[in-house]
Amino acid sequence: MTVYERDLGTPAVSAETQVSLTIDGMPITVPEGTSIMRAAALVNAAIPKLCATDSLEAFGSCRLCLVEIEGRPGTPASCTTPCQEGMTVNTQTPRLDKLRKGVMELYISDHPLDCLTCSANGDCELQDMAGAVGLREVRYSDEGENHLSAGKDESNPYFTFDASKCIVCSRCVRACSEVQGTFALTIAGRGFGSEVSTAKGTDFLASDCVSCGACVQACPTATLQEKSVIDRGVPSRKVKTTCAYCGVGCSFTAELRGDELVRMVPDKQGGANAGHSCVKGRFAWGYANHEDRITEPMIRDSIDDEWRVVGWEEAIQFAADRLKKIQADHGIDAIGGITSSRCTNEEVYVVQKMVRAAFGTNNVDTCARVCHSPTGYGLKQTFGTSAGTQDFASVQDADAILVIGANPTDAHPVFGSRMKRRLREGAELIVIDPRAIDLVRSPHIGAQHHLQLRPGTNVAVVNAMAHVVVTEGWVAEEFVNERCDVESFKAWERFIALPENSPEALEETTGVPAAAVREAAETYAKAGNGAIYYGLGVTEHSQGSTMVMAMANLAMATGNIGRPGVGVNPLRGQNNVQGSCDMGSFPHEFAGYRHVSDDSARALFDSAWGVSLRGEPGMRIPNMLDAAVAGKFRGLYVQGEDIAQSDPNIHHVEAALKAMDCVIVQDLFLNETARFAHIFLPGTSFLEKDGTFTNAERRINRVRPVVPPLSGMSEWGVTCAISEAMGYPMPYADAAEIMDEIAALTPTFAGVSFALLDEVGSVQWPCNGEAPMGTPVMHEQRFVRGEGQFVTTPYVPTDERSTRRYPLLLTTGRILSQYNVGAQTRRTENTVWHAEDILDIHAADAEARGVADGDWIEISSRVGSTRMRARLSDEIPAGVVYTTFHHPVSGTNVITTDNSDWATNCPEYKVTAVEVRPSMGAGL
Amino acid sequence: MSGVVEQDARLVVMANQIANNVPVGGEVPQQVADHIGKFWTGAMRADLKRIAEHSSDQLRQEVVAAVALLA
Amino acid sequence: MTVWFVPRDAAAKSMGADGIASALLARGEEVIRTGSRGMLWLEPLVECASERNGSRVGWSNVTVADVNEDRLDTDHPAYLGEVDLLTYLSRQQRWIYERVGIIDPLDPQDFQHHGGLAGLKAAMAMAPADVLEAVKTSGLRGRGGAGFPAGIKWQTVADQEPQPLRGQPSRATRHKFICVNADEGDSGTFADRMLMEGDPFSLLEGMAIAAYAVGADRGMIYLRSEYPEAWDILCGAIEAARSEGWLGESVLGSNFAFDVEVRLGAGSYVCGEETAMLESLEGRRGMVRAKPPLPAIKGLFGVPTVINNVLTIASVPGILARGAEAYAALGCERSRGTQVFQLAGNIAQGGIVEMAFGVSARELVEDFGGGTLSGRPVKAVQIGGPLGAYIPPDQLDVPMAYEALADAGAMLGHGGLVVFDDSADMAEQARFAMECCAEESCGKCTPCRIGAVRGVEVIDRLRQGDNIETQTLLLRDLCDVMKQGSLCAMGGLTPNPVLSALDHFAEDFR
Repeated sequence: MTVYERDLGTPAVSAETQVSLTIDGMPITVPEGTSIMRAAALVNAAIPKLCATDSLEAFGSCRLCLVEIEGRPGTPASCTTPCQEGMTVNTQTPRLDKLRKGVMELYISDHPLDCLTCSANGDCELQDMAGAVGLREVRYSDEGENHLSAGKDESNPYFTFDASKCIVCSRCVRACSEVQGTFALTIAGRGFGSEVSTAKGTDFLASDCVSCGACVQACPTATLQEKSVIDRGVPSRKVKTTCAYCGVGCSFTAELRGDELVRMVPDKQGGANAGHSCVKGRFAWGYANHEDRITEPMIRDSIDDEWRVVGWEEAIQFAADRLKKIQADHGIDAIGGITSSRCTNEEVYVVQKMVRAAFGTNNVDTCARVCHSPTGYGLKQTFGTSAGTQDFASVQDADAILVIGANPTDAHPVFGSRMKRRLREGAELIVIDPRAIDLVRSPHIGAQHHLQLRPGTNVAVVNAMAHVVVTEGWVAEEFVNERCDVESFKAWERFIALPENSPEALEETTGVPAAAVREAAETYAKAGNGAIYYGLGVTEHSQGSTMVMAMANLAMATGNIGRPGVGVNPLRGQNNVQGSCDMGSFPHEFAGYRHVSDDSARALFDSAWGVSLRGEPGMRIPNMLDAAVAGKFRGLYVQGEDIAQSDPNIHHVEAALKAMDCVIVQDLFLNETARFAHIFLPGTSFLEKDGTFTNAERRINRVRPVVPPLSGMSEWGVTCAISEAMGYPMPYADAAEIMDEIAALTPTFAGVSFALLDEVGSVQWPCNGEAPMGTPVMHEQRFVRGEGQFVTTPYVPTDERSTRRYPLLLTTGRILSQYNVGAQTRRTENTVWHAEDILDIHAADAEARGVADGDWIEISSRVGSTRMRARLSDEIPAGVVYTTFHHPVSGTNVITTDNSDWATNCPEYKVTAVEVRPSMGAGL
Repeated sequence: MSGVVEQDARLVVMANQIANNVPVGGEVPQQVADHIGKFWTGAMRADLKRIAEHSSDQLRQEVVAAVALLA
Repeated sequence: MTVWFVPRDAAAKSMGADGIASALLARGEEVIRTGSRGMLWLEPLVECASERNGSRVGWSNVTVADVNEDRLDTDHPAYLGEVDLLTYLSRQQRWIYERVGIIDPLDPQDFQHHGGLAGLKAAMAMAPADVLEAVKTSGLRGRGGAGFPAGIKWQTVADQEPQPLRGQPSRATRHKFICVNADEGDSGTFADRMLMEGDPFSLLEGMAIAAYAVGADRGMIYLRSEYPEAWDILCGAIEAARSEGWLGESVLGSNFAFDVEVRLGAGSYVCGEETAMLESLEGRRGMVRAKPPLPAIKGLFGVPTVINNVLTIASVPGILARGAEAYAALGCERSRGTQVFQLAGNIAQGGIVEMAFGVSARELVEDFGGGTLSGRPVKAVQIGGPLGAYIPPDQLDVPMAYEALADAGAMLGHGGLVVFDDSADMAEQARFAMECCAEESCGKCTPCRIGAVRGVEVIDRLRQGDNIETQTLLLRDLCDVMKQGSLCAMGGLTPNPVLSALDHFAEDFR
């Protein structure tokens, strides 16, 4: 494993020209623009430093890193001085020694001398540097001016700010600005009075701080320190692993003291996050040891009975017997399984294998059904495979960024920060969203175009943009002719040029001024590299699949596919949505997106698995639930998903679950679905898993066990045991063997192995003979399907429309500090930021209903109603209301309907006609 | 068996929605038949056939035409 | 008809010039408000001529009563005769200050009548590369303190492609800037202000020439907020220049577009440091940036930027109008042309003296300045602003030129000379230097941020006689760290006054 953790002081530079120089007699060649500090670190000539760190631009403030350059006067700072051809640099001379000692003497003259009792003792750069420069005494009077009595800010639940230990290196301020892009911190005062402060002058909690941890990470002293380190001590060992929250898939180093996890530190080598993190991955891991964790298997005959704690063997046999009995009584297709996007590829793979091979049915689906199934459909139709086209780093090359139905700064914060960095550099931004998300206007960022459309009219807006591209003559003819199916393009061109698709014709439908659509289309088509990023605001609609294809059309027509800086990119909600789809979780597809009716693919699996697989699709989740209500579907294996909270029209879901004879829930906690379960199989947290996650950029990352499974069994092991008990053994020695089987049976994964991942960190599929180190950008030479396919995308209004009875449209989203149904984040201190779901309502709508800010309201749709508090907001237009869905008590999905995407049945969560009324209280 | 009625109702909605949303330019019944053939289970297809025979008025004409094309 | 000339310069105003102008106007006289002649001990200096461009006679220290009682005649004790013939002026070699005190600063015709605009016209008749060549040939060096050759700086900017402003899309309009540093913060200096108040068009003309030479399209003057009069005059001059077609979309009717705006600082000394000035202009804390990148490559808002001091830019029109060789013929060694010296402190005849490089400090202090105001012997002269060294009287023969001053352990800075008589406590002055640095430090680099505070503390202990040898060693070590380790010139030069005081006036520290 290549663990490369040295801090080289300044960021890497890419340049075509190389320069050669000599540092302390050692020759080195580096890209032009590389700092002397970095070059010196590369030849192991350690130059003392405090304000420099390789995640931040050089700043030049500490003045410890001074060097001498032959033929030049003075002692320039090595961090801010670039290498030049032929330079001779000396980093260690008596003059430099004396200067550095002098600088360190100044630092220590204003620093507490409590190293032995300091929480950073042994993990403090100031301490290290004092040693490195050989400081032995401080000659300044200890009665001089100092900051030793400065106060401590402990308001953030996860870290403290101890101003008395601050050396004013600005690393925290710079990290907040450069890396995170929040600008919550600043230096207040000047000269000796300079001090780190929140930009608003408040404590950390009340500030704009998003608790991403970048400042804590950057701090060279104990000034910004994790409370867990203060409580538990400096860590003694490390394990590299992958975060289990969102689809960004950040790499982390889990730092432990003995077997106790002390902190999670983002990995600088992480391909997805490059050393950055968000509040969830960095700090909100406490749920893994929460007292609510169930660690022993439990069974019960009926959901009216109490749970009975049993041994693994009994639980497994009980499950197998029940499932077999159902099949004997009601047919093979009366059972099925649901895989989880929270689980590893290996765990998912064995569940779908169990369903297909042991159950003998294709009734397997995944929770991606309710999020990104339209992505799978739409991108497969147009490009040939179900995957985002780019790596995250690609955004760095984008000139125009089109964000549709996504809120990266909250839902994909680490990628959001990358995007913000590029936006600050000058990329143009188009936001298509009913809501003014943070990106529309935040520090140093402003969207050039915000198309604030009516919920449910995505296709109309993107069609209108495409109409402008086609009718203005902005089509990338060469790309279309060379790379795409020209017949399909011509048909699409005729369709999209129809007057009914013009921005003017659609203005009334979408609510977006035609001129704004025209300007946005011009920006996307003409800025250079145009990149589309989208989220569930695209997919969770009745035309989710159509919209994915409409975006693909737009990207192809403008030539924005197949190179860095462009592409069509789904921002995946959960850590392993991509992976769970890749692993053959859909009822119609085997691993690698091969249809079950594909005889050659089926033959491959038949022979490998020693079974005869079915060639027709199985049921999707909603069909399973419908069949359950109809009495035809009676047994379900639910891996790490809470369909009784996360799926739409909860009353219907509950009726289906109640109707079944055997519901098996494999999870960390007794979730809502478990109320209807007969068997509860304790799952493993990401800290206990051994396997891989695949993030939104197709990056396969290793998840390594940090602690042993609390339940005593791996999740894949439990699945295999049930399969074996049903008569189909799946004997894997370890997770690596599962991946070996996946690689052997899936062409796009052919080169993947744990050994490779351990060696290179991560790879992006396709990873095979053609691309042994993976594929950062897809469709570079040709589309996966050969030629890019244009698909006509008529706008069809959803049936879910505002009516006199339900005049408002509800749309939903996520917030930074909480995660999906909140099972994890609600069990952490993240609740200080978001203790409840709140309904955002426009002032005009609120006034008309007699609702004031903070009032309890009742919100109802045609299927149900729930209560929550209201907040008056100008982020949404009149006629639209918005809420999050992190708290089960708010029951958002009690009111969402059965409407779904026409092609994939992905629920139409983003549009529900509702009415809002004042309510007396929580009422629950 | 209200559950069965509900299930039928869902299939009707799904089939009609597919017919209403398939790309323009092609033959709608063939596209609907292809889609249903690719993503529906045999049991669901059989149910749809049954519905088309007994209560085709619930289905769009293109769906009825598509059912005839189903294998 | 008789024309009266009353300065509207801030120094003259502070001595009552406005009241005199009003009094003259009240009497129905024609009054032209000019800049100051730079003989500050004579202010308010009122002049009179029989016609607008006729020779002028003057009276010093005029009062309103002088006007109201009609006393301004040749018998008045303060009658000076023909002002141009006063030795203080006639001995000078006025190049930059050619028109200051003579013209109405806001009158374009007056400006042109006295030779204004000839430089820009000459420049625009040449290729930009030839203008660069002329500036190089002239030997003009930066007057802000560092003395970097202006032509080379301009060449660097000329060699860059224009860029979109930082944070702007790549397809946005591309720019280069000309930035004039008018944050004249050094105590005892006032040449920038008097030039801007007395002949602002020459600054705009110089900026336009620079812009033409390097391909810039926008100019920015960073003016210290303590100069309200200069602000008014500059704003008026820019407006006038635009309506004359000297600035704007079509400079002098050509395709060359260039416009200028003035921005006010917020009272921070360190914002006179060029990179801190850029930060301030961009709307951020006035904090020093590390170099590289050089502002010439990535300057204001990240685009290539010429940053020059007022006097540097104001030297340029003359160079183009009268020829680079004529300019280069003045001065000594690699210090070519003229420098505007400013005499201040304890001095009898304070003011502006523009002379070719090479004049000695003694000539300036004694011949022009007439010695101390108090009449007591000179104890020290601080040359080059508050960060300059204290020179003892026996070293005053040093020629005022970059090289010679450097050899003497001093520096030219912005050309200010502050005189102290023998009552001055040089240890107090050394402490003051550290205190000033502590007060004005931006707080970015450690040697300045912590060092200046410690410097004050060590000098205090030294003056209390606490362990003198150890404290002296510590003070010298600290000065060494500040000098070699500071990020910018403020921390780096603060040891100059401290060490020169310690070296030359050690007895004051006991």
